[in-house]
This record gives sequence, C-alpha cells and structure tokens, in this order.
Amino acid sequence: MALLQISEPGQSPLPHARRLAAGIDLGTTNSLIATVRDGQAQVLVDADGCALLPSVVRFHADGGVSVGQAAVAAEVEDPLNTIASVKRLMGRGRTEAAASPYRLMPEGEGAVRLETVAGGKTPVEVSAHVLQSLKVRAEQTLGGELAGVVITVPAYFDEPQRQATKDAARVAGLSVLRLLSEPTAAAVAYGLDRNPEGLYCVYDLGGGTFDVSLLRLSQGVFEVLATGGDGMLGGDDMDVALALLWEEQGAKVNSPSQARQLLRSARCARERLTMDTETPVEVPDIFSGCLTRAALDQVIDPLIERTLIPCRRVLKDAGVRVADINEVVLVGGATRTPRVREKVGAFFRREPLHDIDPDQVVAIGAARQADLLVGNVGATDMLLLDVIPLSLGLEIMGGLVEKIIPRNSPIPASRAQEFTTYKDGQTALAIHVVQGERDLVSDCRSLAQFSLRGIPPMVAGAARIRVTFQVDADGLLSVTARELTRGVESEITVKPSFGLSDTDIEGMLRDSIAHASGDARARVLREQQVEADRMIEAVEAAMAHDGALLIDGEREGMMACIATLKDLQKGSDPGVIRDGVAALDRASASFAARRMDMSLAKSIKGHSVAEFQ
Amino acid sequence: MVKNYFELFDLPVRFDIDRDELARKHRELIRLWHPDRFAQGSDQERRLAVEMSANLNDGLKVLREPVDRARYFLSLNGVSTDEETDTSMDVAFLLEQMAWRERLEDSGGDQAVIEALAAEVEALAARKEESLTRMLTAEGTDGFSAARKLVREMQFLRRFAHELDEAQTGVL
Repeated sequence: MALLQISEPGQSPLPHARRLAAGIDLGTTNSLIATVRDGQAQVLVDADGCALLPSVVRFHADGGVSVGQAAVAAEVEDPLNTIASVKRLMGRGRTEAAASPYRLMPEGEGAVRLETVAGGKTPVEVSAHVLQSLKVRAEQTLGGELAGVVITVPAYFDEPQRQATKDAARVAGLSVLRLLSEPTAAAVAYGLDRNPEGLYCVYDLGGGTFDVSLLRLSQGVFEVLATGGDGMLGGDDMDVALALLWEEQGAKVNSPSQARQLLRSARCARERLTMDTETPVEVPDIFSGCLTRAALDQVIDPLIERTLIPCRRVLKDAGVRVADINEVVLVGGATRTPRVREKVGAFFRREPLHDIDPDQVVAIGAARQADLLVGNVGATDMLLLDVIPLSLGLEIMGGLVEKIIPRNSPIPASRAQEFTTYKDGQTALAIHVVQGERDLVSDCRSLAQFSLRGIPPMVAGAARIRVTFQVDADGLLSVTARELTRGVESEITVKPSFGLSDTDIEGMLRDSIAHASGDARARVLREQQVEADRMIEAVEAAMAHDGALLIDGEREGMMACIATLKDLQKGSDPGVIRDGVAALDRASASFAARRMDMSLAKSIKGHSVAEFQ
Repeated sequence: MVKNYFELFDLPVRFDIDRDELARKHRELIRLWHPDRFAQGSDQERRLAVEMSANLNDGLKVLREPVDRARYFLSLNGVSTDEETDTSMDVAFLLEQMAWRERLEDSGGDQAVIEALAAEVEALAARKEESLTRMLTAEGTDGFSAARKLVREMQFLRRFAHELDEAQTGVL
C-alpha cells in the first residue's frame, strides 16, 4: 500500500509497463500536448506537423464541431458560432463575460452559456472540445489510451477557473493527475535542463493572461514563494489596443466579422514586428497603413507597465530583492515582443532567458510532471509545491470579508473555523466563501454559498459548529462541517456561484463529447471498477502489513465490505460500485488514519523506531 | 493528527526553535506526504495525503512566524491572545501607532516617506521579537502575561507593515 511503502520514484514496488502520460497547456490562443519518450519531453504534432492547436471551436448547425485550424478558417465568415479565447470565460459569471464578442444566453444564473447554432454551450464544453482534440492526437501518436494528464493553469487562476478546467477535462474523458501552474511547469522545463539550484522568476505573458511567479529550486523541490498577475491581460489586449489605434486613424468597422478581421491583422502585424522594424498593414475594405515598431511600442507600453505592478508585489510578498534572483524565464507567445523583453530585462536588471520555445515550454514541463505522477521508471524525482494565488475569505457582518487562508499559502492548506448560532433553536447556518484581497465582499469573487443543516436545536450561541475549509494541491476548495457539542456531522449543500453542478457535468458527458469518444457509461463503469480494485488492493495490503493496529471486529468489517465490493464489481452499475467503495472507505477510515499516524512517527524519527522494534 | 505542531515536526515544545531545522523537517515530510506521491493511490489515500500535507503546511506557517508561533505556544499553555478577551492596550503604544498612521496618510504616496516608515516599524518589530523570545524562553510562566501583551502589539505592527507593503507596491 502506497501509504506505508513509500518508495522513491523510479523504484515502484509493483513493476508495471510504461504508462502513457501527457502534459497539456490549455492556452487562451493555442493549446499543446507533450509527452516524455525515451527520456525526452517532446511536443506532439498533428498530421500537418503543427504543434500548436488554435484554441478555437466552431459549432455547426448539424451538431458537428470543428476544432483548431479548421475553426480558425471560419472565424471571419461565422464569428458567432466560432468560439476563440474561451479560456477568458472559464469559471466566469455573466457580468464578467459581458464584454465577450459572443451572444450570451439570457437565462439562468451561474456559469455563462454562449448561444450558438448548436444550442447553448458553456466555456467548459468548448474547452472540452479542445482537450478532446489533443487527447485524440496523443492517443493516435502514442498508440494507446492516456493513463493521466497534467493540465496547466495560470498561477493566478482563482478557484472557479481551476474547477472549470478540471470539469472540462472530465467532460473530455481525461484523468487529471494534477492541475499545475504554468510558471511552475516552465520552471520544471528550464530547471531540469540547467542549474538545479537557485531563485527563479517566471514572467508569463500569454494571449489572455499574465502571471509572474517566484520559485525556489533546491534539491528537487520546486517551491513557489509568491505569485501574482492579472487574469485579464495578455497579447489579445495588445491587439485590441492596436485595433483602437487604427480606428482612430480611420479604420471603419461595421460588423463582428470585420472586428475580428481587424484583430487578426493586428496580431499578424505584431508578430511581424518581432523581426522587422516596420510593416505594411492591409485589411481589405477596412484599413490600409503602416506600423512601425516604435508606434507599436508606444501602444503597448501601458500594458507592459501594468505587468510590472504584480512583479513588484511578488518580490515584496516573497521578501526578495531583484539582486537575489538567479534567472528570469520568459514564457508565453507575447514575450517574443522585443519591447517586452527590453522592459522586463530593465526591471530585473538582467537578460531574461528565452531559449526554450516560449510557446512549448509550459507543455514540456507539464509532460515531465505527468510522467513522474503516473509512476514511470526513470522520471526525475521532484516535488512541486504550489501556492494559493488569492486569499480565501468568509463573509462576515456588514458585507466585510474575513480572510481564512491568505494568498501565497502553500497548498494543500486547511483552516478550521468555529461558528455558533445566533437564534434559539436555529438548525441551519449559511456560509459565504469568497476569494480576493479586498475588504468588501462585493469587491471579491464569490465562490460558493454553503448551507449547513441538521444542527441540533439549542439556545442561541450554545452550538459550536466547526467548519473546515480545505484547499487541495490543485487549488480546489472543499468544506466539511461538524457540530462539536454533540458530534453531529452537518449536511452541507454547496451552491457554486459560477461553476457547474455534478448533474450539469454528467448531463454534458451524456449529451456531447463522451458520445463521440465511445460509450460514456462504459467509461464511468471502468473508472469505478479501477477505483474498487485500488481500494481493495490498498486495504488488503494494509491489513497484511499492519495487522497489529487493528481493533476488535475491524478486520471482519473490512473483509465483509471487500467481499461485497468484489461481487458488485462484476455487475454493470457504476453507482452501486461507487457505494460499495464508499462503504469500504468508511469501514477502513479509522484504521487508515491510525496507520498514517504511525507512519508519520516512523518517517520523522528515521530509523530509530525500527531499531527499537 | 492530534499532535501539536511542535510534535508534528519532532521539535521540542519551546518558543525558540531552530527555524532551519523546521524547514528541513517540513521538506522531508512534505516529500513523503504530498498528494502527488499518491497520484496512483485510492481516493482514501489521496484524501488522507491532502489532509496530512495541509496540516504540515499549516504547521510550518504557524511555527515559522514569531508572532504566530508565540500565539500558538501561549495557547498550548492555556493563555489566549484572542482580541475579544482583552481590548486594553498600552496608551503610549497606541499613540505611536496613530502618529505612524498619520504619517502614512500625509505621505501622499511618497515612496521615500513610506520606506523610512517601514524601516522604523521593522526595527521596532525586531526589538519586540527579542523581548518576546526572552520572556517565552525564561524558566516558568511568569513572563506569559507580559508576552501576551507584546504579541498583541506585534500583531498591530504586522498589520501596519502589511499596509505599508501595499502602499509600496501599488493598490490591489
């Protein structure tokens, strides 16, 4: 059982065949998938030899879907059904998405739905199509099913954005080993190939988001010291700024398709100015002119300045001076812009590194981590410690926020908080969790409303309800509650403010993508069977190894659950198997916790415990 | 997981810990217990690993910072530093605080003024930390009541230092 037989990576106690794993950079503009083959991380290309998959999805009236270049080709002729830069809408509410160029479905709260000829589509579904397309590419290239993937997210992504990303993977039928922050992935790519020790700053300016992270690399542990950024700032904004400049200079835009055309020309001109100092701009019927690098620099300078504020903040948060930094790493296509390199170099007083392709570096780092997490032999031993980018807080009286987990806390993190009732006989309590740095609830992002029910009726102030907030290694929040005076587990209902419920996701699995990729139900069944196998194997190994820790009747209880589960596993109902796993989980939970305590004592004392025994 | 944080890291239950030792122990343990180590494990194993690493990370945070460590150490000795239990503060200290706040407000964002102020606050916090260490490492519990007052003052300083940080790096 993994909990006790802690083996060094590469020395797995159960030898198995090499598993297929991949790293995915799910980008605003382009997405990539990479894998480790023969010890080398490499990006996988499509049939045309392209590594970059444009993150663009077109929905057709007949229910068909095109992804990537085929969709890009239709952007101008079919702008409302061709969804680009959907990453900016992930985990967002309607008001935040109001500026999007697409038609939003009017009804309902929560997650945004985009109106297309094929019906309302959530950003999660759109992203799932991109992921699905990369999954197919990888499985065809590698000749087998992916055992697991690491998907990168901007370090600055808040909880709903991370949750939406994980939901998209689920809809696409991918098993997520970990959500990894993009700068950490980039540092993995550079750190392994270069100096293993030191303090790194990763400056990541992508299509739609900006991140800056400070990492300390030492003895195989990559530790994020601080992270900051702007989730709404990227190369796309440079295009918008250029388009505005041209409109001032007389460009006439009369339709969404012309607006899209102007933005595309802006991007192309910007890309050409990476090498050239001057470029002609011809947008048929809309604009004709010339753009110099100096003019471009003037337009984008305010945007680059905005990226330097988070840079100053992370230095402060980490208590680090510019002179302490060993290397600055550039990530993201927009860092190809000479002016960005120049200004970042001036700020950090050193020439930034950019020798790994800034478009590929994140996917390559993610691929290495995925290879390690699926347990492949030969993967480099390292541990990536991420932090929570924005503080988690609770709404208190007067619409104010009380912070419970401050930003830049290493994750996993948890915090327990006690609440009481304010009325006699009160049996329910509402808790509002928000994320952000501001003092007012209205200035932060609402994550979820929790209702606690089933509190035993008592006089006001007598109940003591302990609520535990936990953030896992992916940055996702979970909440549990217990009434302390009587030990009653309170029931929690979560109403995510922007996310999707499990039912929503299961609906999507049924309706859309899963159908295209085989039988959804068969897949869910197989997942449950695998989980049942893992659980049975783990519990049996634990009993064999630590029989001495068992208390009266515990072994019998677990054996009975195992026997039942083995029977259920032969059936075809995933729900019943899930219940069987849950029953075995309950029967073994306290035994597992005791083993963990003992194992902790052993690991901390080194060999001393073994010597006494 | 009923252990206190000192025991969790196998450190003696005393205020003046070796912070390098703490960091080393945390690194050793988190390497073993991080959920990434159980990516192929059962849900139960992964859940326990998340709980354990959260506990390790929380323990590191509490023990690393002198103010948090002092509060935690005092609470283990039955001395609460919660603000609700006592609102009295030293008048001279409060006046100094008010003067500082006025200087911050009057600075109009002048970075030189804010930096000078930050240096003063830092120096005072360092002096208070020294006294705190003396009080909490002395024999017996005589120093606890004075330490409690000092901890509360240091919390004020920390909050103000944070505001100064924000003023230096631009608004959020």
